[in-house]
Amino acid sequence: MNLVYLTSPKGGVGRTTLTANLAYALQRLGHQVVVLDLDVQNTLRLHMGLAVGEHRGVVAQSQHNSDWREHIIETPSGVGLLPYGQATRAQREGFNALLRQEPDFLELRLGSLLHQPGCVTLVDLPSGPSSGLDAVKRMAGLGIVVMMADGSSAATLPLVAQENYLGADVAQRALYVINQVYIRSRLNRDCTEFFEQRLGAALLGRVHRDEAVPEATASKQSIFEYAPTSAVIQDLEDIARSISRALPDAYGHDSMKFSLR
Amino acid sequence: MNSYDDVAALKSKIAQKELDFQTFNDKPITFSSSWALLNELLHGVEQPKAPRSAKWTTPQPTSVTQAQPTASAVTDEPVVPTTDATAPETSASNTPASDLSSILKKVSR
Repeated sequence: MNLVYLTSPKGGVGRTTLTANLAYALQRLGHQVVVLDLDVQNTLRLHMGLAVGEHRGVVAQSQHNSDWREHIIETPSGVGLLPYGQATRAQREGFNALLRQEPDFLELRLGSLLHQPGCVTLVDLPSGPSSGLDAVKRMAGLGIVVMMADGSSAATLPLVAQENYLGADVAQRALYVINQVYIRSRLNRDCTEFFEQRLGAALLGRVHRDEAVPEATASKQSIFEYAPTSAVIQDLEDIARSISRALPDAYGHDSMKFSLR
Repeated sequence: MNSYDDVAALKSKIAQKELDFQTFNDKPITFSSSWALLNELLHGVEQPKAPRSAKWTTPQPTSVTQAQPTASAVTDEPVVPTTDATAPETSASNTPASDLSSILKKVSR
């Protein structure tokens, strides 16, 4: 199953930005990429270059027994987007209830997209425990926990394995990304070292802090276009390559043969 | 100190012409930022994009069986955010994923 979900025990670590940037990076590797926003903030669409007034989304459609591939919005970069969308309180509550109660809810809606060779589906989740997280945990996807190299984010590391969050089994298979690494900060360097010590091989990579990242969003461009010489590009490409290799169905397909390095 | 009347002092202070309060309601103020997102948020409509970003709006109709690598779209100079009003508006941003979904459905059958 070519499903990758990004979660974080603490908010404000740049998870949604990272989701969008990894989508671009995976697309540059040759994958067909679809991103699903399960965060009520509905901001992934802005990172993908859609208009502020774009209010369509999956939550309003959730009551219908529909195939979500019908609702994929093609973003300017060519990445497919399933936004959370604008929703009433009743629609949000109904959506959360479906995520909790129907074990196969997401799998049925996403259909064969999840098993399509060469295609990767990225899911952006809200921070902390959520019904969306519970739903994707039931699927055999690749979980990526996004952390930031600061004290409070490091303090949330033990929460990841708790049963009300990822749980011990899923946490054991999860991979980690340290976001917004700032090497000029001593605290930041020490926290990064702390994560490296604690996580070992589970540390998928780190992404350096660069003002060009929020500037790219404000310019409605991808970081790859806005700042092609940024160190962040290399970080993202390294992580994307690791994700690609961790998904045998997506990686080994013929469509990828020209981009393997 | 006890005889100090601060209300009277305030009145005399604001009576000074050079401290006259400025209001901008009667002046035509137009906000124009070099950040496209801020302009869109303020004006409520999507602003035309710069010609350089038009390059980004050409989606790669990569079918799964014949996906082409889209890597190395590196430009020589960093992209400077601009808001050129004469630039053609991109149309792909709001359209449903007709191409993408048809491709996906076609392959997944």
